[in-house]
Amino acid sequence: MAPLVAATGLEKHFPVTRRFSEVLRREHPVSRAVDGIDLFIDEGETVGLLGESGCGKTTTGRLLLKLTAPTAGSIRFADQDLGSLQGPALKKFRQQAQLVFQNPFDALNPRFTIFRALREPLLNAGIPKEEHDERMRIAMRRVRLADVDDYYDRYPHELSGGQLQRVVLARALVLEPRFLVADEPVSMLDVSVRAGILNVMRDVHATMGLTAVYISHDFALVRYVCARTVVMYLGKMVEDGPSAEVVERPLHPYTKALVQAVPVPHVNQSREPLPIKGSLSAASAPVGGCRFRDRCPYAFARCTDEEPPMRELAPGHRAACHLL
Amino acid sequence: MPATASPAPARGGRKAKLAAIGRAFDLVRRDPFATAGILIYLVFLIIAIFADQLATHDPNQILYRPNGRVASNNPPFGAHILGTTNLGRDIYSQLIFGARSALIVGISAALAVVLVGTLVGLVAGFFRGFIDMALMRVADIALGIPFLPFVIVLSSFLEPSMWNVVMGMGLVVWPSTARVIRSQVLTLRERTFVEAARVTGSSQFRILFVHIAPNVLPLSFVYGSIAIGWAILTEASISFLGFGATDSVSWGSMLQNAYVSQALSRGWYHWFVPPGICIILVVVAGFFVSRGFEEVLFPRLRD
Amino acid sequence: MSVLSVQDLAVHYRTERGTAQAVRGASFEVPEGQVVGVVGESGCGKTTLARAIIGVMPKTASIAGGRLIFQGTDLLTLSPRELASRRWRDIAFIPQSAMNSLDPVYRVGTQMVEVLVERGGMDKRAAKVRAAELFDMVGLDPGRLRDFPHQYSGGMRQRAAIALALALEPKLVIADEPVTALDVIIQRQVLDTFKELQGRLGLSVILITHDISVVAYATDRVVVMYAGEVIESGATAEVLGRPFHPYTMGLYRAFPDLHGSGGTLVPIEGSPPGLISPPTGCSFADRCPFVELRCREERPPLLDVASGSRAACWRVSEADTLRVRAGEAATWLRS
Repeated sequence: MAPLVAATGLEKHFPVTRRFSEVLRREHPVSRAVDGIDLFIDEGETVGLLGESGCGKTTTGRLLLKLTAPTAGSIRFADQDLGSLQGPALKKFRQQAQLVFQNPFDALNPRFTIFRALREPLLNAGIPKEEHDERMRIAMRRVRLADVDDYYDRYPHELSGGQLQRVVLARALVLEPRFLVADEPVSMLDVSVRAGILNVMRDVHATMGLTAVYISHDFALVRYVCARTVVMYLGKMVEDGPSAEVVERPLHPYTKALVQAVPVPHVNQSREPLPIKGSLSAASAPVGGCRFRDRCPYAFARCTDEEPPMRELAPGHRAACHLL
Repeated sequence: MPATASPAPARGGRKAKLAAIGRAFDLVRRDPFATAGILIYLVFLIIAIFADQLATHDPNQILYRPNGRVASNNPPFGAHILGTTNLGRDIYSQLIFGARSALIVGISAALAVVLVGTLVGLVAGFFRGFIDMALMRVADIALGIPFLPFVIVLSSFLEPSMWNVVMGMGLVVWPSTARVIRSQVLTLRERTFVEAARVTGSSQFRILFVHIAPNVLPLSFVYGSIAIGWAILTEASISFLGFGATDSVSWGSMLQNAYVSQALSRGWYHWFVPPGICIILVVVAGFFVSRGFEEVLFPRLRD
Repeated sequence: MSVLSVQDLAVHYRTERGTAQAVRGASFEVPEGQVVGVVGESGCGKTTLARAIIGVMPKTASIAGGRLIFQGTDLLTLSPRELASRRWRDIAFIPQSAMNSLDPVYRVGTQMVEVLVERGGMDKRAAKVRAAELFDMVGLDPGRLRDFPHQYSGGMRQRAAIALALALEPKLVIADEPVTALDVIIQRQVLDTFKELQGRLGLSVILITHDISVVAYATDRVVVMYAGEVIESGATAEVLGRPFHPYTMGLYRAFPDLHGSGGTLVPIEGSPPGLISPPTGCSFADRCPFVELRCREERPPLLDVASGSRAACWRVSEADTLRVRAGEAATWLRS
């Protein structure tokens, strides 16, 4: 069966403000937010896009939803090329692919009641009016806000962060999409509330068979919600495998450092120095070769000359490193 | 299933709206200037609507004394509350009907400015690119045109009428509103809920008019309030300079007549002071209202 | 020996809708040379507490009671001038966003030198040397001193803010969410820096955070706050290993553990009570699965419990049983 989402050779470059010397030399430096990714997602998979700031995970998410156009490469959704989608076909895609935002406090129009906010996608998609009520109720029930009458007439500023994010999720689900991208969905919520949203998301997957991509910098969260983890670093994928595997048996040096760096809620935890080299300045991609080589404690000559390809080293578990 | 209750007070759409009105009144109470402004507007509005009932005479009618002579320059507080003009017209009635002209001009002009300015601001800010550039250049040109002389020129070409002021404002005064609306739109279009609207399939126009426009309307309202005062002032200036409408009476025309009849040197204060005060009151009221309502109309997100 | 003793501190805020009791009778000790974590969700009062200690509060806030004994002196009895002189020299503050402590218009080095000269009484040359030392200490390249704050990355700014705070070798540093906005690798490095400096300089640190994992990693003692009150405090190992307050028990199960078994996380349903008219009884009563009648009527005081910790709960004597029940997801689901 063809994967639901197939991205090949995906690249996205952003122009960077030029320094005067560069203007004189007619150079156009770019920031390579996404620098060549091949990502295949099967229907029903939950994939976590994990990485620190600047790794390109958010940009990848937006590319997958056609919110921005790739500089190079292609994306196919349900075996249709995303780049050439227009008109009714594009409209259909928008119904099938939805987004949950990072900031629940801003994701809803402050002048819309919750009812209007939930109804908006239905109106846009041209769903017949008779179906509206049912669909909205089902969506609200999925996010555990079943007492809709308590919420329909309220405005966003009257709800708490946790409730808002559930409404945002409900709005995304009201069209029964096939594909969901969630960008740091709980990072702006209080910790005691996060568990609730995460559980809702797990349930939604289980009951709807939704294909989902979770973008996060929080490893523990990704492990909890996603069956598969893709680790990104400076625009490239460095590791890709089942979440439990990636956490317990990380292959790539960056992943190893990441796993060790995450604090756990137990006093007895490793406090060993991280296997990663100094350089605290903002990581900028070195040209050519492996992007991680400046910080990698195991880098050797080949890492500078040749970019390591993603290779499968265990069933379903791939990594891009010359050491392996 | 546990219902996560929120500690917020208001429930229900209608109740929420009532609560918003309640908050509006609270703020009004706290800002006495805005309250004063609203009251002044209300008073003049009532006067303008009920002018026919409130005036004692026809403002253009020349009145005569019992002895058959023209009732010119009657002092105030006599048979005529504010006295009469040098041609025997009742000043009080003129003042009343002047309010009507003033408000008609003021509100129409404000509407014109707000409509044009908001539309331009919305379109320029949202679509950006060439449209934005073109519209902003037009705005720059309009901004460069001196308003009063422009209206004078208009009045010379067209029939003298208060609608010249309205048209003038609609053509030349909208840029400041447009600029502010545009920057508001520039901010709004980056907001998450706008992107959400895009993701859930809203068309460009829907996003612009259903999502963004309602969030800039409070600002339009603010500019509208200022525009009312501005329009009335301009109309008064035009009439004073002699370019105003000849058929209807306005505060400006009263001032012009008084000036031409040398009312100042003759000490006929009852003629020119009342219209002057009225003009000042309305302009100041506009300013206070616009300041006060800026706060009320912007909804606040939960802290 | 405690470098700071917070006794029954109460801080009120004037708001549109009334007086909010942001901190209500908070008490805890900061022993010398230890890192004390203050953990709680947003609105629990931890930032207000920090600002009250350092004496930097907005005009609408006022101290409504209590004592802050710092090295024998009650800080609350000091005049603003006296308090200001202690700031930076004795007590330093690293605010939530590092940009708040770094002026974007001046070079970082200039700012450090200014602090050292104005408040430390050093001459300029000595100050420059010291600034380089401080940067070295926090793991930053001293060559970067001549850069502006915007040229630094987030992690670097945080470290620069730490260096600035430590410039005059204060006895106590209060750090408000110092690592929240940072990537996890930088976060780890910053926390390690704190630990190392604490050991080397004998610093006492109050580390404010909402993340229990950070507390577990970086603190010696922890104070758990809820709705403006301290509801549990003690050695970190004890409080996390044997919690006595239901909130702490629940908090534990609400955090995803990277190496966890995958058992369902359990959220604590509901939200904290409003601070304007706080409830008469225990503030956690509405969300507590073990609530009894007494809990709603009387506010439990901080009681000493077996392990040297303190907890504010009427049912501390049953803590062992409750702990087991709290470990089960079903306990926290409400019908």
